[in-house]
Amino acid sequence: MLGYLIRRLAYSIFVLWGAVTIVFVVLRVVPGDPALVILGPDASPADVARLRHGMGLDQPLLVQYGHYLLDVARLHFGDSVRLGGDAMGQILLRLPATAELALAAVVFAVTVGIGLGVAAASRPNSVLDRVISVFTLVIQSTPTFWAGLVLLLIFARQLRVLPSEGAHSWQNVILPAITLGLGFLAMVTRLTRSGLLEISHESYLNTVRAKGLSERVVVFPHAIRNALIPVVTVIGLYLGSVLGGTVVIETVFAWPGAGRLIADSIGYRDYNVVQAGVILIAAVFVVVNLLVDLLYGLIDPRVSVGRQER
Amino acid sequence: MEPLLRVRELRVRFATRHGTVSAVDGVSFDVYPGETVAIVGESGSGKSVTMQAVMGLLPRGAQVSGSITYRGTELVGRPVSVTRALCGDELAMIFQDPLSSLNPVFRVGRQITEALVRRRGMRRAAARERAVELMTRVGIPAPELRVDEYPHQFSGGMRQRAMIAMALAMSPRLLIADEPTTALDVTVQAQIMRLLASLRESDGMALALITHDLGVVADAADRVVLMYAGRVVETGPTREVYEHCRHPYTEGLLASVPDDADVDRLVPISGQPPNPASLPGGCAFHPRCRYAIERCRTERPPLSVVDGHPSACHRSQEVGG
Ligand SMILES: Nc1ncnc2c1ncn2[C@@H]1O[C@H](COP(=O)(O)OP(=O)(O)OP(=O)(O)O)[C@@H](O)[C@H]1O
Ligand code: SF4
Ligand SMILES: [Mg+2]
Repeated sequence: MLGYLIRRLAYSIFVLWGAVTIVFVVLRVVPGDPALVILGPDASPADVARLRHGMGLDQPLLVQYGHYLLDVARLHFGDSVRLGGDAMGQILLRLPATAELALAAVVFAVTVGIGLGVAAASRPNSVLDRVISVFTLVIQSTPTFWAGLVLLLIFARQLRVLPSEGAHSWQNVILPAITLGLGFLAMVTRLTRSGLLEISHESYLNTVRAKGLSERVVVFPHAIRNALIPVVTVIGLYLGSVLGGTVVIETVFAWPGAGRLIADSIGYRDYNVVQAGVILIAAVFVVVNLLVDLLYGLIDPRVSVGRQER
Repeated sequence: MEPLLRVRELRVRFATRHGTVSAVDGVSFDVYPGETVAIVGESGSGKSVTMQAVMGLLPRGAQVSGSITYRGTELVGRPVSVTRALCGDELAMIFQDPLSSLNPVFRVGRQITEALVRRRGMRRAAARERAVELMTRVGIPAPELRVDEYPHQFSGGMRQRAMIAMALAMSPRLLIADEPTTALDVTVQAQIMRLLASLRESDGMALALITHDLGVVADAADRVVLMYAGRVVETGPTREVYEHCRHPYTEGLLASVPDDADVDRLVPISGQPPNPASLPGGCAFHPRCRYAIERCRTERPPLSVVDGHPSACHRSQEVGG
């Protein structure tokens, strides 16, 4: 168990360091000068140079990276040049909205995905099964932002049944959550279906029938509990893409969350906010994956968490 | 006395990629209250499919015809829910492979009493106590601890005991045991057979015991039904069949029963069981039969009584003693 925790911790630190480094490099590689953005196009070169010096941007990249790593290690993420105030504070302020969206997306994807997977597996190769299979394929090959725009056009513009943007009422979360969860939904559907079909000949299901229990009990909980084991493993991994997706989705739907703040801050070259946001997303990812590992031990008693190799 | 289970001219066919396979072809037998009937045959002879038909466990798409009545209720051609309603209280079944017949993700105790909880509304706490009682009855040591364990923590023999406890939970009138000891060690096999025999005695339930080992049957069964290639080839009281078998296949199976005194003289029947997709014409056993004559290739012998009990062989008079 101790060895497992140490391995786990080392892995987590590695993931965080990777995220910290990648966001640093990407922000410095893309063109655009934060000082110029702050001062505006009319600023004199001398003013720009003075601000660059003040922000440490005139130092060699490696030196900047060193300072940056030290700051991050001390949990100093710097101030937002655009909004003022602590960059991480700005992100945290908007985190609940993002968490709400991500949670709604995951709940949507898991419940509907399991439902579709069960429906498809109950009659393999039937018309329903094929329709569901085509549906998941289409979803998986559709870019998220495009799916979002299509949903917006249909439900907000044409049918006018759902609001298109903002976060004024609970209905606002529906479209962005569906958009964000679509890819995950397709994956849960496919994994549930294949998981169920894989175990459909197991004799423990006949044991349940021989007890006189109905087909519903055979599926829920006997078959589904086994079929969901692979689903749980991917939930953790997929969460990374759900969190990453919030950046696009929140922008499309004007959802006031951390993802949209990150997207805006990229436009303003507000490095500190972008860095703080990405680091926080990476941290959430690491924590959720740890939780999923523990959950895995709960759902499959044959796995004891301490012994699991990954 | 009315039989509990009456099977008449049962046919089960599967549509496969290689055409229609006739897995069970005109099987008839009865099981009376309290008796043990052994269904014996080599691998692929249709034993499991027969009992799956009785329990309503055949996969979708299996074509079933003939008649299966349980205490007068016809089950063939009725919705599977009619059979389901009998499962548990009246009919119970334990399976060939105890490793895969318990759900790996649920506690053993919970699985033993699941039907009591879901169908009879028993409370969880009472059910747990009942599970401990049942586990004690089937000889699982330390039941108070094991009731909360998972199947992977049980040995093969203990899992089969747990399966038996599960079957007993609803006090069925007929227990169908599909090769309950095949996957187990020899010593454990004997223990399980003794357990089944003692439970049958104390509870008065009937037992339909599927096996491919005639040796197991001698002490345990009142009657035997011998199956080959989906058909009954001989059936009768165990003692009579042992002493005066009337079919070359039975003779072969009896010869292959290991004798305690000299295990070396074990003679299996030569040749392979036939592929049910392409059965030999006439008597399906003829390619392997040392009694076979020309007539056996073309004419299928009907099941008819010769000297006391039914057998299906053109030369049954000359077989056995
Ligand atoms: N679902 C199915 N689809 C097609 N063929 C099947 C199916 N189930 C069984 N069969 C075939 O029916 C025949 C009888 O099978 P069955 O399982 O009853 O044999 P058995 O007598 O129980 O043998 P064993 O001792 O190996 O368990 C076999 O040839 C088998 O291949
Ligand atoms: S009918 Fe012929 S082939 Fe078949 S068992 Fe009898 S003797 Fe053998
Ligand atoms: Mg079998």
